[in-house]
Amino acid sequence: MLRILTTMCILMLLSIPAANAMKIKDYHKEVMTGDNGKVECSFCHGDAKRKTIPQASACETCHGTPDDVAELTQRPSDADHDIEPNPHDSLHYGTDLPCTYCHQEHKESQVYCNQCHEFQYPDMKR
Amino acid sequence: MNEKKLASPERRQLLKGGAAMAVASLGAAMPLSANAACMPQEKVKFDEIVDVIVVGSGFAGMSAALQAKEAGASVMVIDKMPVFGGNSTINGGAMAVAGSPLQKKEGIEDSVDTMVADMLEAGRGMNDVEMLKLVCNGTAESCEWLTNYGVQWKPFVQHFGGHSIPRVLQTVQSSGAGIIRPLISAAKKHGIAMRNQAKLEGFIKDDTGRVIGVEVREGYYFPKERTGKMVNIGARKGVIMATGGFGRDIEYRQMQQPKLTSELDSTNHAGATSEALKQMMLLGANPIHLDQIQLGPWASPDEKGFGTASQFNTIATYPSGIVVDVRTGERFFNELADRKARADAIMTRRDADGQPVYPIGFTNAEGAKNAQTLDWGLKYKVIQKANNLDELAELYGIPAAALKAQVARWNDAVTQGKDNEFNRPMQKAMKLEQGPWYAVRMWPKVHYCMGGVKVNTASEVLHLVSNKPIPGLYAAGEATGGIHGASRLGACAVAEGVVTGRNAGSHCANNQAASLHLA
Repeated sequence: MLRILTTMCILMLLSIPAANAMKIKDYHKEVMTGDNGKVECSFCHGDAKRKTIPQASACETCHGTPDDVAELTQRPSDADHDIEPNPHDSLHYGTDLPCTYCHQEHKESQVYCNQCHEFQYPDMKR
Repeated sequence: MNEKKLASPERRQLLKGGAAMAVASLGAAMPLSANAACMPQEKVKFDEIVDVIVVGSGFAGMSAALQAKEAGASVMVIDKMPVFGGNSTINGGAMAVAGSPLQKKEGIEDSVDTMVADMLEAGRGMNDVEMLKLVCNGTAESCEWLTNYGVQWKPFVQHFGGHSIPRVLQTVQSSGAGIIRPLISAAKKHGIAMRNQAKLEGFIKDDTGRVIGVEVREGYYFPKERTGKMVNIGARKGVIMATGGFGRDIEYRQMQQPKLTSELDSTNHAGATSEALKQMMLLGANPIHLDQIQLGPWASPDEKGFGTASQFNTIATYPSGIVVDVRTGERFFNELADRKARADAIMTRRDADGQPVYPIGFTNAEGAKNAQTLDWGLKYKVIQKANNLDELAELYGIPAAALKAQVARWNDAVTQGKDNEFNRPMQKAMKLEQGPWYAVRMWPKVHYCMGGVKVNTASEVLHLVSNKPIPGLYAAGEATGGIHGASRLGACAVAEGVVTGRNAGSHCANNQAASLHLA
């Protein structure tokens, strides 16, 4: 009996560090860390099981609506071709694209538009 | 586990809460969902019910949705991608219209019959003539319909390859987004439910075989098959499949055309795959012309997808410039032939090892004056600038004297109004006299599937064996087959999508409603 309990405890302990061993962006780590010193997965993932890709609404809690975000990266009205398009307000997609298709927390972020384009966004945190 | 039992909707309902992994694995087992989808009507419980479900949100889907809404139906649009508009919102936004006000303004005489004749010639006579006539006949009215939803057109008519006369209108944005975005705004304004990340996994039929709904994976994260959760959505009046083609489904397109390997790029978005087509076939839909897959002859190997060159070549190089073999400096095809003829011609340019020798298309500043993508193309070095023909020749390693001689021969042909070398239509041809010159390297890319399911003029999908409509199942746009025959003319996909989409929306909305029940 004791052996079974021990095994269960070890298994449970193993599963928690696994979640916290995920790579996480520095700037998120600070705000996502709970009082217990561990990263709160539920900040983004809610009650969903591990590996469930968060809804964009989770991002919006801190970052504002897609329109708010689009405003932050607005191009000047007289911008020419030297300035890349607003990544958050696309000619093709408006503000529809959920955040998670570009911004990836646990691996390198990518630019959805660059499946066709060659846009350079050096300030994007990868 | 008994597979059939596992796949039944009732079993799925049981699985939904706890055994999420088991539900997820069903996504890959596509044939199962069709086998199991036939249910006594009173037993199916739906998570949501509307009159009309439209699958896909491109030209055909959005037109179907709005037309059904206009007819008084409640409508839901589902799209598996994170964004709406499929290929339509990343296309060039050009629509062929027979008898537009702009044609009249420019004194161009056109008719539905002339457009039908042009499309039949390009289609090598393989076209479904009834559907072709329906499309051409609807273009002028549908163009006005789009304008009323806020679509803005450039104030001139263009001459695209394969058309006998200029009849192409284009959105001011030079993108199908100029059509899709206004239609999405209108859809949201009029209460159409727009659901992205919602993937069709199978159909639900009643015991008479009528399609009464769809199994949808909600919260789907393309292309991860195990994401999201399954729901059943009921459609009292019918399901309209506006699911596009399969240009990016390399495995399936190669089954049809083994030469279309992964080495050939495509102008299509990543979601242009075959699973919706396969689901329709499992219901008995009749697939036709699936091996008729079009290559876009205006693309460049120096960028991904449709890019900047496709627009540039369509509006500048092809109507107002010429294309030469880099080794000889000479033209080798009619630059205003239909797409198949042009793509086939370009792909004959190969070295002794069979490797592509990319031809060069070019025009001058005058020829490129309407090309909105010119500056972007220059920025990404897809389009290159040369001040004179010697510079142009050096840039691409073309023999300079031969190139200059070709340009002189071309200018003579323009003067005579006749291209004796390749019989190109010369209505909008212009002399190439002064630099600066703008040029691109060219190689075709997989662009459009002429094939798809067979429909009748009420946009009902026809059954392979009975040749009768599959009750409750409609299709429109690229998902259907036969309208374009062997080669679609440029700007005719927008025409087809909008006209057949509206046709499907109207017929589906007028279908008799089935009585369905919520869970």
